[in-house]
Amino acid sequence: MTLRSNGAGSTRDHIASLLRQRTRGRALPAAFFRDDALFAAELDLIFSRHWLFVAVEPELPEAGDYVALSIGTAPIVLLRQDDGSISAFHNTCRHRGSLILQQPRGVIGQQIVCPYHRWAYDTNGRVVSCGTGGTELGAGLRLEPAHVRTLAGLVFVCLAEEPPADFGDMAAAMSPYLAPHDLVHTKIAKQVDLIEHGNWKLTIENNRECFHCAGHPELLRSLFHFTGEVSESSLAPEERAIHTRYKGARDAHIARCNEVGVPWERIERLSDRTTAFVAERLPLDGQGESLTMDSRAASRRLLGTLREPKLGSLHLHTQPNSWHHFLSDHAVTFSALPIDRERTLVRTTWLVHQDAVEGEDYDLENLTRVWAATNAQDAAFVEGTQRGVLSPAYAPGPLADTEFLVELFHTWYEQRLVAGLDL
Amino acid sequence: MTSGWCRVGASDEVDDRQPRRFRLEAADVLIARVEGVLHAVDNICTHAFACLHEGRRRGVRIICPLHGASFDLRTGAVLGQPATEPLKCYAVREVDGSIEILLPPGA
Repeated sequence: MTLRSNGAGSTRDHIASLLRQRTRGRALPAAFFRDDALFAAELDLIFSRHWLFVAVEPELPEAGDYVALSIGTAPIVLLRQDDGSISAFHNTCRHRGSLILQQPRGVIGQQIVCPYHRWAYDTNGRVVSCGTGGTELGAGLRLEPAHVRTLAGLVFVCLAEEPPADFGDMAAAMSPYLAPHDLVHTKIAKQVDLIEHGNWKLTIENNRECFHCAGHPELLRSLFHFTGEVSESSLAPEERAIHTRYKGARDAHIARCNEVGVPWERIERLSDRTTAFVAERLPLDGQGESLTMDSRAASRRLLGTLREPKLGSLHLHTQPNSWHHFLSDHAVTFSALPIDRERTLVRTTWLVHQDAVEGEDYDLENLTRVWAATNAQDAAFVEGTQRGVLSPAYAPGPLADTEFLVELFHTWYEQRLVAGLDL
Repeated sequence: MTSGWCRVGASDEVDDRQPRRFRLEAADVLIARVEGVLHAVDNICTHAFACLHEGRRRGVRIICPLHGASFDLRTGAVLGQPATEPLKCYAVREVDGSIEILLPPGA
C-alpha cells in the first residue's frame, strides 16, 4: 500500500485535505474513487474497525463448517464450533503465513491444519502441532482472532481489537423485526458472487437510492420507489398514479402488519453512531407478497411461523457494507467487500425455509430472477460511474432529495475517518 | 504376512458416529458404522498423505482434514475434490462381538 509516507502525519494531512474537498449535498470528488492512500486508509479505518456483515448462519449449519472470505487484503475464516457458537480467525498461518483454509467453504477435521508444513491448531486457534517439527516451535502461538456477533442469523465480524460497543443497540432494535423470518432455520437456495468494477463506495451509494430505479424494470414489478410519507407536489405527472397505488398499499400494509404483529415502523439510526443502520418494512406493489416478477411469494413454504404472505419487504441496510430484504417467503442478503481500489465483491444470498423443497415449494429461477437482473444492472451502473468519474471533466454534481441516504452515507463515512484519524 | 480374516477389535468400539482407526501390521484401516452396518476403507487419503480418522464424518462421507477431499465410507468412492482416486475397501464382518476384516493375500 502506498501511504504518502513521510511518516504517518502526512497520510493524515492528505486524508484531511481530501475530506475538505467534499461539498455537502454533492457527489464525492474523483479522488475518493482513485486515491491509493485513501483506499489504504479505508481498509484500516472503515473495514478493520467496524462491524461488517459477512455471512448468514445457515452457511455454517454444523460443527466444523467453515466459510473463508477476504476483507480487502485480510483473509478471514468463520468456524462453527462444537458448542454451536461461531468464531472467526485471521486465515494466515503463524509459521510462514500461508493461507490455511484455502477453499471458500468446507469442513475442518478435528483440528485446523495448514496444508503447507502441517502446523495444526485446535478449534480455539492454539497451535497443537508443528508438523514434523514437534510442538516447541509454535509454543504459545495462536491464530489471530477476530470478533463475531450474530443478529437473528446474520453474521458480523469486526477486525478491531476493541470493536464498536453499539452493536448491541442495533441487535436489540432489529431482533423483533427479524424474529418472524427465523433466518436460523433457513437454507441457502442460491449464493452468487459478483465482482463490480467500481470502488466500494460507488456500490454502496448506488444501493442507497432508488432515483435510478427506472433502470430496474424487474425490481419495479414489486418495489415502489417511494418510501415513507411522500409530498405529492414533488411528484412528476407520470408518478401520480403509482403514488396513489402506493398510498393505498401502504395503508393496507400497515394495518396488516399490525394485525399479524410484525413491526414495520422505520428505524433510521445513521447519524452519530458507529454501527449505523436503517430498517423499515415497506409495502410492495402488485400482489404485495414478494420481490418476484409477479409480486407473489416465490416459495409456498413461508419463513418461520408466518402464515400471511402479504407482509411487504423488511429492508435493512448497515454501514458500511450490507443491505437485505426479508420477505414472508424468502430473504435476500447482500454483502459488499472491497477487493481493491476499483473492484468490489457483492455476495448475494437467497434464503428459503429449511424444509422448502426446490421444484416443489419454489422454483429457483423464479426466486432469483429479480435480483439476478437487478444486480447485473447495478454492476453496470457502478462500472459506468467508476469509468466516468475518472474523466478530467468530472465535477461532483448535486444530489437529489431522494438521494438523502447517499448524503447520510457520506456523512457517516466522513465521521468515521475523522474519528479514526483524530482529525 | 497376515492374510485372511483378522480380528481388529470389539464390536462396541465402533459406534455410528465418528469412524475409528485400526492400525494393523499390514494396513491402516478406518472402520465406520453406517445404519448399523460396518464398513472398512483405507485410513490414508489418496490425495496427499493424511489420516482420515482425524477428519469429520458427515453422514456417509468422511472429509479429509488436510485439503477437504471426501470419500464414501461405504464404498471408498471419491465424493469431493481434490482427491481423484477412491479408497481401497476391505471386507468386514462381526463375529461373536468381534470385528474382523479380510486382509487380501500379500497385503
